[in-house]
Amino acid sequence: MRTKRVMSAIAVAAIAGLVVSACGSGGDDAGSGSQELNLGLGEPKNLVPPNVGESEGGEVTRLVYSGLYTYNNDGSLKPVIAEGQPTSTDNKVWTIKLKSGWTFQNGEAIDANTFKKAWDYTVYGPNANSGSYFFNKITGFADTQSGADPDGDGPQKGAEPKAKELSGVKVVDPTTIQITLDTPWVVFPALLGYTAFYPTADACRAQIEACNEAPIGNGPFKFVGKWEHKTSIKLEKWSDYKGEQPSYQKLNFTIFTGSNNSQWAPFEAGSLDIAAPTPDKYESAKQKYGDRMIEADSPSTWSLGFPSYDNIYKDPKVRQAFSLAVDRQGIIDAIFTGRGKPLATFIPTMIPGYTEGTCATYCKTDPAAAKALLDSSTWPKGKKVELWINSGGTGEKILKAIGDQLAKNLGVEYEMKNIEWNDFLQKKQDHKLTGPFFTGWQPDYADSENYMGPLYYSGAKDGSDNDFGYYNADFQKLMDEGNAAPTIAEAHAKYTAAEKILTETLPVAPLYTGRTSTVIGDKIDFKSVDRNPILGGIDFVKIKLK
Amino acid sequence: MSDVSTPKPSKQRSLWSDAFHDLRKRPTVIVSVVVLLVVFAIAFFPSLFTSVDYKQCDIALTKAGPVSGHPLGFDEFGCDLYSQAIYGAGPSIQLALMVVVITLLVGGFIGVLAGFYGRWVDAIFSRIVDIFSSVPFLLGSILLLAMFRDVDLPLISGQFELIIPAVLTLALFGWTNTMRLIRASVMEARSQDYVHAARSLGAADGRIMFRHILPNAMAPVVSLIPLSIGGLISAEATLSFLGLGIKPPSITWGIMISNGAGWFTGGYPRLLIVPSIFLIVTVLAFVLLGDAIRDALDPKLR
Amino acid sequence: MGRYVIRRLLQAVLTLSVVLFMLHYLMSLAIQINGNPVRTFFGDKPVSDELLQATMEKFNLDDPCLKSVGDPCWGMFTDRMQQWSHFDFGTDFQSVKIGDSIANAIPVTLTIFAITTVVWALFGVTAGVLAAMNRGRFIDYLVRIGTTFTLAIPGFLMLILVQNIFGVIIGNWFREQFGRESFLSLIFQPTYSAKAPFLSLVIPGIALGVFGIAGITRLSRTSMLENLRSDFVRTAKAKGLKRTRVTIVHTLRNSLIPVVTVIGFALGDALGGSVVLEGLYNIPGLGLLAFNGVKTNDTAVVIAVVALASVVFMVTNLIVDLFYAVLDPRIRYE
Repeated sequence: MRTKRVMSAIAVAAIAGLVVSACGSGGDDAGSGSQELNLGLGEPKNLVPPNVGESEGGEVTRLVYSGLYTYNNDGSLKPVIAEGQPTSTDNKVWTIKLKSGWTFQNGEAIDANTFKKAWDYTVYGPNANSGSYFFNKITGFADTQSGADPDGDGPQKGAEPKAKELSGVKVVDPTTIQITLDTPWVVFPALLGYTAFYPTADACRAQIEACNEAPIGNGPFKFVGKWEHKTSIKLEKWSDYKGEQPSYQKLNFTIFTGSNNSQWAPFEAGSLDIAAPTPDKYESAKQKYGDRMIEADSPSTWSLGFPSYDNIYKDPKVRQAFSLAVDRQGIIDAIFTGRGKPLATFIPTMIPGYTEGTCATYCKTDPAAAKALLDSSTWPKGKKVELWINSGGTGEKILKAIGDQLAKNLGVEYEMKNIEWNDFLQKKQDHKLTGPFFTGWQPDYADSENYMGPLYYSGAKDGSDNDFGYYNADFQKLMDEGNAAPTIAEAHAKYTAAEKILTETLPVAPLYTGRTSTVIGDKIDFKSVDRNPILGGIDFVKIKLK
Repeated sequence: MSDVSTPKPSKQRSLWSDAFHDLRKRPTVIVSVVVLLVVFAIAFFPSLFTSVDYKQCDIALTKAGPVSGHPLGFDEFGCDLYSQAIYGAGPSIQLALMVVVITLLVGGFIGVLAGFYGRWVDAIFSRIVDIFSSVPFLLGSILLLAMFRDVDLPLISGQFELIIPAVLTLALFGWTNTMRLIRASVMEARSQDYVHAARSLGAADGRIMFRHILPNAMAPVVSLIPLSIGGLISAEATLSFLGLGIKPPSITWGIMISNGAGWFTGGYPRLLIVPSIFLIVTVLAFVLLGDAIRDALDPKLR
Repeated sequence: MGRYVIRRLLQAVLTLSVVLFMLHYLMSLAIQINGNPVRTFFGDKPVSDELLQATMEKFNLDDPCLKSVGDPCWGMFTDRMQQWSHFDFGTDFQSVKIGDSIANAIPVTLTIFAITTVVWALFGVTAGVLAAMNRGRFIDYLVRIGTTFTLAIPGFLMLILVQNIFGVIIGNWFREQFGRESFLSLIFQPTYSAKAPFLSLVIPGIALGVFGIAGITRLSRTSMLENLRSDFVRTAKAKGLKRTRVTIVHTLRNSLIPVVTVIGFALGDALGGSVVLEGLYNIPGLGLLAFNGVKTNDTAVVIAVVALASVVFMVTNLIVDLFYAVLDPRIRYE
């Protein structure tokens, strides 16, 4: 559940409030026996835990693999293979105890060494695992990366990494792992439940491509056959699983790849057991299935990013004016039929470290104040606003609605710049976007720090190494202090102070968080459905079939 | 159709004037011409038909029903549906006309050359046609438009800048049809007596081709013009529907259909039906007119 | 005849190589202009250069020529052609073998085309023949009006309407009345269903057929009319042969020749239409494969699918032309 596909066509489903549907909705064999759950899924990119980067792959790997921890509904760690919480005296060296007796589905035993080998594989530069950045605060990470490429993009390759192993990870004994960080960081344990930290079997790493097609897992479900790309993934209960076992036998994912990858119609046609209605079908779905619908806010946030590197948008007043000109609730009502929640903070409610109303001043609609601010700013009269977005999807509708409101409330003309996704990402990174852009964030880990540090913190004084060209010395200082704080509570206090600075200077105008509406089919015992607000998905192990 | 046998000074004039004579009397022609005149008026002078600015949207009015001054209500962005449909005509029609002109000029010119000279000229152009026709049109367009949608074109600005990428793409895949037709009829005409006569009188190739053969070879193409305009309007709508055509806040029927499609069974069928009717009626008028012209020019097919 | 076939095959090979290179060049240009598609694997996340470089290597997209706009990337092209000569079509961004993807997609798309062709042959040709034989009468007008309307409704719009009306509204009603597993419920599906692969393709296939039916019907009618007027039919009638025999044996057979050609060409168009159709219905066929390939800039997939389409197009054309000779003894190849 990271940011991989935040803006891809499939994540546009997330904008539309379908995040859960990526996680849960249908197969094609409904009605053929009650021991089967049929769900829908977008095509995953990869199913090897260290390389899983988007919600689709995450959905499957979380069922087929188990890690040290998973998350409780409040974001706290719930031990799975680990015994108790990670401990540390200085927030720099963390110790994790393991349960013994766990194995992979091929019989390989799981101990501290398994994790070390798996993590060494994950971080080793040439393996190009997308999950490796989760480890970048662990001592020795830099040595496992490939050296600088001597001739840029030329044929010569960068130097071999200095180390094959992550020196910050030590096996103390078969049931104890010790992780050393470069600097103390109290938030670190929050990362440990993510798929990047999941173990992989030796047999899997030996033939990583085969393992991607038919995973050797250690979780409550195992693969039946292979991953039928763009068609289906079939799982069945692994009865030797040491943790919580599902009460039913089979779980089938039907993979949807069409441009209209809505799983709602197949749900209504009875071939999926769980699905989210598309926005336009929401009202009729609510009437028909209201009592079987789960509505919940999603942890991903959507914002209007500003190019602070641009001469015009450098002026915070322009950014404040734009933020005040947008009617967030109006957009949510019109485009999402009300399924969303306006953001008046940089952090969504369910995330540890959330403080209410931090952005009350500028994250509201006030056309008069907006106009006054714009008039007093350096905004050049008659300038056409260029709004940037990657093409294809509901995001385009949001941005058009924003443009309409800028036109109406500020009297500016606008133009949409819809470009290909790779072009958009590259231009964003290279600071070539010449106007506000639509941007989304799905958290890597459940802590307020993750909604600020990776996005607005800059190593350079001009903000040139973040996408927004944003730099604020006070913000940086507070974030540093938060990272070094001795307790989580103290860290959160610092982070909130840092967030206050963002709400005044607005590197982005926070817009909304999605709200997912998921309808649970009548084959499923509705009371058994448990949705985790942090992972944004339903716990398919706990689900009971009628 | 009256008997074609009435003697007239030249065969060419009789064909065209007969056709015109015939067309004037048909009710479908009259109706479709009237419809098309209205559509063209809408496309080029939209402000005559609505005083509401299509870019003025109030999201609070999302999907609201008709009120006075807004006869068709509002779309999901709270924009006036009627004025959107009116302003949506322009880009489609302009695009279709531009593409037709380009394909006629390019396809016609190449077709005459290939048909007249035959041999290696024909062989080369025919291979080029093969290349274009063996790539599925929609895939090719998607590929091209996805690449060039954001390339700034020099010398072109304003509204045209928006439609040029689509115009070029559609023209690139469209000229081959015109070329094939012209080539075939030029080949047929090449061996006819009047061409031999002109040649024996010492007329230059250029003069024979464009003065003598072309007017006669035009007949099959002329009847296809309205049909291809209709087809191009559909093609533009398809590209807009796929998100590859004109970008908001500019509007076309294709964008309106794309936005409205989902609401059809979601309780607001109006959002799909209104632009669909505008689109279908326009294309239908072109198709009927095209049919009538073809019948008039080639009476035995009727 | 043999020489003719060889010449045509040589031409086809030439055309195909140009198409392949053009596609390769376009896709390279797309990467050169829009940036490396590998970047999208990481989304909004800042990604280290090492990781990006390693990932590009993994997908063979690390050739430096992809950085300079306009470079034809000859090296990449010849590499790919060499791979192809061993029937290795490479892998896509999901590390799936493209050969496998195509092999899985072909039967699906063929099923749709089969349904479409049946619709054309059954309804299109019959309507055209009936109209011609009842020229100027009610049936003729009915057929005309019908074909005109199918021409006037853009294909994608028709598909949207069919999906919503037949798949959702009517389909849901059937499902409520007769249950989800009933025959009618399975036919009237809003999207492709892996559970009833053939049945759920029937309606989309018919819709695609309706989209191109006007051309077939009109051509059958015209061609029938021409032949009804021709000398050999007059002779046959004069000989006192029965009307049905004249119609079926003499007229129809000859009238079908141009229709067969057009069906061949129209299937080429239908592949374009199947891009929209398969996208709307989530049908795992060639159109969707190609469309997704274009959307994600997955060069290897796009080139492979379009190359296949070109080959099929050219082979169809050749077969159609040869078929001519069988159907019409007047045609001879030099």
